[in-house]
Amino acid sequence: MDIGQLFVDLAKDSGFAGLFTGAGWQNLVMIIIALVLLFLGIVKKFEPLLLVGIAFGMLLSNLPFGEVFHPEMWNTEGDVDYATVLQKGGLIDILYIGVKTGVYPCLIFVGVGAMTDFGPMIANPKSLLLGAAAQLGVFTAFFLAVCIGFDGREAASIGIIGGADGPTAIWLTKSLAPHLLSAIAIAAYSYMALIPLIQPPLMRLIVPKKERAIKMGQLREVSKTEKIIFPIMVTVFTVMLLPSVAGLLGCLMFGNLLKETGVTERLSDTAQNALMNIVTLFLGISVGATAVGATFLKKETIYIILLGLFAFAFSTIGGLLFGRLMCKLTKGKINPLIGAAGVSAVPMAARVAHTEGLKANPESYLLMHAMGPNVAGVIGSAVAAGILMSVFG
Amino acid sequence: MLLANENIGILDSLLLSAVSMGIIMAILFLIMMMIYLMSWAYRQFKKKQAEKAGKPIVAEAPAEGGENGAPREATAPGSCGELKLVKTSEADAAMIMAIVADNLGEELNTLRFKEIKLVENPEKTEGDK
Repeated sequence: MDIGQLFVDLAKDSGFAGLFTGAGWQNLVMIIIALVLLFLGIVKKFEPLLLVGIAFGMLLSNLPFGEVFHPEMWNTEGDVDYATVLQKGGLIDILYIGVKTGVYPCLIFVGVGAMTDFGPMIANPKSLLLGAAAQLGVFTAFFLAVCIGFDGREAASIGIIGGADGPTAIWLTKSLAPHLLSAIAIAAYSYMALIPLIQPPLMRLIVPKKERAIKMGQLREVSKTEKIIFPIMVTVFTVMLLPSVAGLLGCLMFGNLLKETGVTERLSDTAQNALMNIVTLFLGISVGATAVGATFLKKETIYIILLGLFAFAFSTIGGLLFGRLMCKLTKGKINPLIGAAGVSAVPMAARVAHTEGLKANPESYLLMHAMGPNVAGVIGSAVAAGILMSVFG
Repeated sequence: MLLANENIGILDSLLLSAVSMGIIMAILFLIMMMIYLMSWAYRQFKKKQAEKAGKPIVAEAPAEGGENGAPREATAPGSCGELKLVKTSEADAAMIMAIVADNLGEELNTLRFKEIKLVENPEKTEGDK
């Protein structure tokens, strides 16, 4: 036995050697990006629950010869061969099945629904319109992406970043443009974390101080019966109208029904905590793992990052402009700032609207009013994704 | 499905964007109308239920300062509407109401209190000196 040759072979098979052969430099760049994302998630606390998982998945799949994820099994022209995935796939290949089949985003929506109180929206149904107006960024980014040269399916996936809803973005992208999944997921979650930096300048630019200082009246109390009827009614109506939203919206409303019935507390608790945590864990690591150097380090990724920023900004602008319109129509009873909360991103966007309102008028408490458009934005972005899925899916 | 295998032009994408925004607005507007309808139906149902139970129905006042102008939720059967507290805590008000009911020898839920107000700076009488 040649001990010297053994060490040479071991060295050749090591990941260190892999970094300096072929496309190894791309893996090295991706490892650095993963470390930066880990820093942002852990130290800066940018959406840490997902960003840490995404970054670690990215790190894991870019360590040479790790074989935990095989992009070639998934980036096929035809249907994915799940038998091969189960027989020869690595750990993350198996976890990725949940992304590819759209199971994880829907399960996350069960948890989101179980954590969401639609009360402020039911108390002030007009806030639904703000949630609709704040989808402007989705279609602005979609249009810009087509102008840049992305095809319709890719442009639709990029546009949905403007919905500021990670699971929705993943749900649509895994069907329409799976090769862009990692870039879109990272852009969506990063910008959601950056909402406190993106929205306030736009709020001050678009809404004059007099309107920002508007103090809104107390919302009416919503009965338990209304809260129970609401998810059932919305599911039946919306899915009948737009069947492609059945998975996302159905799960969102199912989770909410578990919360509101009062007789399924254990299930609601599981959806809010255990289920949500497990799925978040699997989703983060498997989406991150798709960011392998060969598919991620392209100029398209930079376009996606920039278009994502446009999408967020235009969604905010859409909500604010419609908020101003509603302010005029109601003769100053609605503070336009709550329109910015229509971009989904619960509850971050509502908090930002509240904070900006407080700055303009220390006696103005907008949080509950902003929660209406905020949860309406979740419905709005699911509907937007459903429309894009119907057109391009 | 419609454009699954087709590329989309700039004009088509602009048109699709406008139509999609319109559809989103329409769907969320319809949900809004359904919520209004549901709230209205629920209030009517509660009102009829209260009527059947033979309890006095308190007219619903519009939501005070509410930006949507939606009427306030019907009060619970047996309730006599709202009690205005002026510089009085809820605990004090509850005690005062219990004392009044006890002194009158009436059930508390058969009495109607409109306002409980703390009278400040009462002029002291001779006997108080």
